[in-house]
Amino acid sequence: MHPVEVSHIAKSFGSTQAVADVSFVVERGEIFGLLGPNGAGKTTTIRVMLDLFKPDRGEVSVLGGPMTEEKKERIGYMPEERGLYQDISLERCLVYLGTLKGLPAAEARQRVRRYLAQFDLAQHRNKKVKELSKGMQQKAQIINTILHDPELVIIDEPFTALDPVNTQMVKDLIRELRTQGTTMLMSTHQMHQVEELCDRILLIDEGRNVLYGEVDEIRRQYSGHAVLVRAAGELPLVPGVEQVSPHNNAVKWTLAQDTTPQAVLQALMAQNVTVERFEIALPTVEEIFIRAVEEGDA
Amino acid sequence: MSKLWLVTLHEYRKHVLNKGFVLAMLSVPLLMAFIIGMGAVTDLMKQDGRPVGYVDHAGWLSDPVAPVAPSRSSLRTLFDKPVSLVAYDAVDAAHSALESGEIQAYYVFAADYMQSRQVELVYTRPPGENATDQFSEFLQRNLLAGQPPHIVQRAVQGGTLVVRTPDGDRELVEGQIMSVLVPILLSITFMILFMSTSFTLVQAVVEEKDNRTMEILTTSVSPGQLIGGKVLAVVGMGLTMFMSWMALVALALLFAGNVLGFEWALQIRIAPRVIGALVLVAIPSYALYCGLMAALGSTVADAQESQQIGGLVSLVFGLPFYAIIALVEQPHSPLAIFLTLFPLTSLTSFCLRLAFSTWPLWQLVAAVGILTVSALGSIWLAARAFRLGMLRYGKRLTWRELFQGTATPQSSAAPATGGR
Repeated sequence: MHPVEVSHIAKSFGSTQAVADVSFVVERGEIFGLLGPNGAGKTTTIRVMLDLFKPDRGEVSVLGGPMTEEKKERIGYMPEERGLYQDISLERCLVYLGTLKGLPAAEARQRVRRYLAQFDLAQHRNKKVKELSKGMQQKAQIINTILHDPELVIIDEPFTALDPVNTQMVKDLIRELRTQGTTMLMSTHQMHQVEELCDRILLIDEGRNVLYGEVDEIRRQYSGHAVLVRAAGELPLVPGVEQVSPHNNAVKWTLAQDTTPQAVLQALMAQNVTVERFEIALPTVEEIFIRAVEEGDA
Repeated sequence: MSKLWLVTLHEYRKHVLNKGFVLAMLSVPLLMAFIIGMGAVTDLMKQDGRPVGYVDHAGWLSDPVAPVAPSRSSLRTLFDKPVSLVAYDAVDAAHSALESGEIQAYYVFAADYMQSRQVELVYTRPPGENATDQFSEFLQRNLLAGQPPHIVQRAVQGGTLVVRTPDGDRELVEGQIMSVLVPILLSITFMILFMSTSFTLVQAVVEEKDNRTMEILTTSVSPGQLIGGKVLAVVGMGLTMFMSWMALVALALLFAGNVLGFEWALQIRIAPRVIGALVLVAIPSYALYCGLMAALGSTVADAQESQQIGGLVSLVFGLPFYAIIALVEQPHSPLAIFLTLFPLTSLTSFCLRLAFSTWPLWQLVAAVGILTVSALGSIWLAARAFRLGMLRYGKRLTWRELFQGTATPQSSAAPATGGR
């Protein structure tokens, strides 16, 4: 049983088709990235998953079946629309929301204090939420999402409004949750974070699956016929290299169709070049994202 | 504790434990105290404690019966100052005393008073009501001298006209203005209560949109638990406020009756059957308003818009006040019956008709039935509007969408936040 199974869901609002045909499975204990340009249908897909919207067709299984009230307590959700009660204290707000997730009040208070200390918010616990900075409120949102130890965490754009220090802290937290066996679905535009954190991704565009699978596998699929090379000294001319372009501290060689990377490496070795770096040039997730969307538009 | 009660408790605490609620709770008693206080000050200004003189040309008061000093509290004495009566032999002497300010006025009994009953009152400024009242009583007691004391007492008390309905539920006692005022004040109180608490309910729903907490809540509790908890909290807040008002008013009346000696304060009577009828009408009316306001909160874009539309709904509630003349003069006219049966105006109409007339049983049964159906309908509508409108930020849900159920989830007006 997969924590999340989405099968050919579609959802329209009037004449607007928000989701046309989206399917995916989230494996237990993985970090799954849901990607897509603005308006691709990510938020609607998540809302259908959470039973906020009923799909026009298709099926959704969350934690082993249809969404129920009981399952809400096993899911942590941080929506794209961030929000906390602005006019009450931070601690009271988080304890209340924790009790709505099934925690006894005393237990919720204890956990809130522990997390506030972990997130450097302990000294702000009696402040009204509206008195906190945007970054602090973002951290409070994350605490609210994981306070009740959910089996499944769904986060929309987890790094918005966080400074580099707090971004790193959240990344560490996400990895820690994965270590503990928590399943996570993350919707984000920050591709380098996806590359760093996600095990598998689904890219959707115009409400349909575009790319789906393991991040490394997808990068391999999208790798051009190219290698990255760096050598001590100047690189010699090698047969079969069609295009040369700089790439960070190396050089990217685009190879002819009938030239293999092994042949290029052998040619370098034959010329006694001291090779410092030689690797298959894999595209970044961002590059794949742009290519996939452009191909879809074409 | 179930999530419904968690939401209820949280919302109740949020509404009740703040300065706004305390101010609202004290506002009505303070307003009443202000009105009573202004009346008391006006009454006080009419009092004049200086003596009143009289010149008896008829000679019938050579050995007058002294006025009876009533046993009153010192505060009551303040509002009905006793005046002493001074007999003068001649008009000149009385007039000199009036000119010098020793007395506030003097009466002159004609020589043929016993036949003509002619008395002349002379003053430079009209005497206080306490002076004229006390002189009238003095006159009555002397005219009745020789009669048995209970006859004298009864005659001095005078007659009291009591109008009573055949079933005995309603009676109007001459001079007891509070019997008329209480139902009117009650309807105004209901109106203030409904307006203040139903606005709170609208804001409680809109607030979830403003705070962007809607999605967090709806993935923690069901829409029914959320909207039910909010309605229960606001009803609880309303009851707290209403009971506080009633307790404070009861204390004020007890104080006015027992300490200040205002008899009217202890003479307010409403039959239990009438109170029961009002409760039967008030409960579904309150539920109807809460349902409408919750639906309103789910359809509007923000708190400001909710206040504007909520104000219009409340105006409908007050419509019977504009038709008060028709309700008084023709309580069984088609207009009066319509206002009584129309769910949004039923409660006010019943309260106002209570002041001046009665209502037949069929109208009560029909009104309660219509109100109950309307209240259930409004709660259904509220739940539907909440479900459809909960994820629309900065954009209102139209009534067409509400009844067709084709609402879009996100606003094109909020592109910065709207995924799809």
